[in-house]
Amino acid sequence: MSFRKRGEMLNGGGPGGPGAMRRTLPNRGGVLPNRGAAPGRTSMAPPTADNNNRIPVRGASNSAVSSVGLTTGMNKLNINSDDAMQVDESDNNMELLMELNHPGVRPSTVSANLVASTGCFDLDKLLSHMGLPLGHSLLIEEETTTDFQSILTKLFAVQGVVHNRLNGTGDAHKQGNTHVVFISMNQFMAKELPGVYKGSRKEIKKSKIKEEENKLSVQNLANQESKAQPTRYKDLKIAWKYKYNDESSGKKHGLDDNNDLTLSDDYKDYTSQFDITSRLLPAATPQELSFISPMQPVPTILSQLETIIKKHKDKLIRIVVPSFLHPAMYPPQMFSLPNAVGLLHGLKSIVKKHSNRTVMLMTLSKEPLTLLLQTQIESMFDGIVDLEPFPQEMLQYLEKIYKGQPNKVQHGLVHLIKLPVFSDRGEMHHKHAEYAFKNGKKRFEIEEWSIPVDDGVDDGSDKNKKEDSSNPQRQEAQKQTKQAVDF
Amino acid sequence: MTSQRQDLVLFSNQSVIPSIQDEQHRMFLITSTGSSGPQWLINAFVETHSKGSPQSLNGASGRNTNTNNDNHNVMTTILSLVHGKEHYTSNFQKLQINSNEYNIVDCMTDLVMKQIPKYQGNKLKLLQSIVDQIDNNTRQVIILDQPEFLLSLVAGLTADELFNHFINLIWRKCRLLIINNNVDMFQDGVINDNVNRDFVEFQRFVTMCHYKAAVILNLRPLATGHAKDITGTLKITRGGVNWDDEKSNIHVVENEYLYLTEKDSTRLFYG
Repeated sequence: MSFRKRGEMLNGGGPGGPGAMRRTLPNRGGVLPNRGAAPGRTSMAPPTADNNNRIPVRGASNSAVSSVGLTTGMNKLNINSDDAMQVDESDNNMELLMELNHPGVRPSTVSANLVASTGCFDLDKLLSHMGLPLGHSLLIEEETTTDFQSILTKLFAVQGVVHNRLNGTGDAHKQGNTHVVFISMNQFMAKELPGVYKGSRKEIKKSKIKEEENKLSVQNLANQESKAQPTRYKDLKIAWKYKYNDESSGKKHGLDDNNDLTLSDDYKDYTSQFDITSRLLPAATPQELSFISPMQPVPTILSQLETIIKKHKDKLIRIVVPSFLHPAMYPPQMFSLPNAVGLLHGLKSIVKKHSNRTVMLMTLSKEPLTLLLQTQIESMFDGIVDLEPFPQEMLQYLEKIYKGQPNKVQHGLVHLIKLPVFSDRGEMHHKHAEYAFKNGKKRFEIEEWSIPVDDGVDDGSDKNKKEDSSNPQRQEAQKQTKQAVDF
Repeated sequence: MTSQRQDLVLFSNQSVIPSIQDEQHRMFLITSTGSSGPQWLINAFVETHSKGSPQSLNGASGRNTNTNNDNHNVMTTILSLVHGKEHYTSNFQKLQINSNEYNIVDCMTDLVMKQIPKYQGNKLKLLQSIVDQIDNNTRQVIILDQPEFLLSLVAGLTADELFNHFINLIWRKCRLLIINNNVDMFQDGVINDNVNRDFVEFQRFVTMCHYKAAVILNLRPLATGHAKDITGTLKITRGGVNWDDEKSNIHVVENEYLYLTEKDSTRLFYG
């Protein structure tokens, strides 16, 4: 990345200029060390004129979007002009503008829908769309009493807060682009949201050095000429020929697919990486995040939610329902079918009514539910992912196999039951035990599952062979036996 | 896999919806699961009713199916508790079905927020208010998408009340009623340990539908999970009521198809 270019962006991008939408978080110091500062990565390139032409909906100024982008958006959304007329026009325009400029919204890779990130790159990928389509809901079930679901809940919520702060000004908290609504009693969740991953210690040090080098000084300007050339031409004299450098930097961010790599340039702020051991600073404020208590009657909950959605007219609304029907958080009457299914039916109705700018994620532990209640709840969702944590014996087995590589140990299976959009069409995407998940500090990873082979027996035989070769007496005895057999 | 592509046929005269000469009211029952959604089958019925044959199935064929063109200017009404109006409109637009050939009664939007609180304590009036939204036209076909959800949503509603005060009233307004039931909870012979009153009511309702239907179309997902070449099976069986139309002298053809749904198209095969 050229430092001269960065300087041009900073000077040229006014408060409402082309670069405004590409600003990063204020508390990240302008650059995400684990993303933009990676060598060979081109995603941090400033939005030049070429970029703007290529992706008019992203980099264009508001005035340009209102005239040109709106029609593009209409085509993209496949909105029938007759139907569109039925909706309030001004509200529709606001919604479309929001979609076209929102850093957390992108087109689906497999359908004509716009999608929002779940905050977990691998979950986005598992859903096939690279996110959750707007106007759709996702249910994450967990089979035992473990609590991996809460990680995904927090990632989904914090991703909304991070998008909301992307404008980089103090007003972003009030005039942001995203609002998160929790239907939960646990108001401490706002303080428990994880912070953005800033890299390992080495990477943080490197980023600080680069920050220093970024500052305008005579020495830095003098060095610009030499630094403008990518470092790979100096440092990697062989590997660059095989494009190793570029590929490895892409893989580092989980973007090993070619399509994703090209798209990542356009949607670099779409999915963030979070460190679940840290906390988001500053913590989410009531302007960014609302809580609705589930202890109230169902119509009250729904009307409160609708009021919040109408209040945040030009924002993407991320509805989060963590640990639905958790006995500690829901009153006993909520376990009755009319209340539980009624609440979900109402939530689905609201999500579909504001389908241009709402997404919903709910987590659920299957333990306390009857089969009837579970199937009725599942019927209300567009997508369903089931987490089945491994029992203790399986974890011990995996730890034994991946001895010395604790990062490789998976924590459970992921079953895919329904996919948004596709399952509604009648396509069957039930995938049982084809994926496994592991929860780490940096990422909640979902990968293809295959039972690892225990080669402990082979190791034992190798050891015996080594022992044989190291023991001369035994070799002598073997020779004698062989001679005797020959004779 | 060597398999022969087949057209959807429900009756011995190669038709999907035969022309009904008498004044009787008939019922089809679709049983489906969450992972084998019936949208393509609902589309096929709407298409058959408006165009004469399910032309979208098996590509642009439908050549062997007996077309029935008596239904022009007769509406198809869809009443859904799980999908909004836009869902069906976008589906039918893709099939190039004119918007004046169908009517959608949206019972999902605002049912819990407005309608149920309005009739608090009077469940039968609530059912009547939904029934009143459907026009009276005995020539029409009505499709009910998961009406069993009313058992969950309306407190204290029984299967008998749902059938007598909702299904029967709607049935009288049409010549053919098609009901889609989600039977996830009855799959694979699962015996529920917690069989309670609610479960019994659901079971009763689904059983009643089986007894009253003339044709049962059972959609089952592939037991081994997702596959690229097969989505699931469609099993066609006779219901509890005979299709006894003396004038046309036809009967239900029991059959089992494999089907593949992908990218807005569905193909049927013999296994």
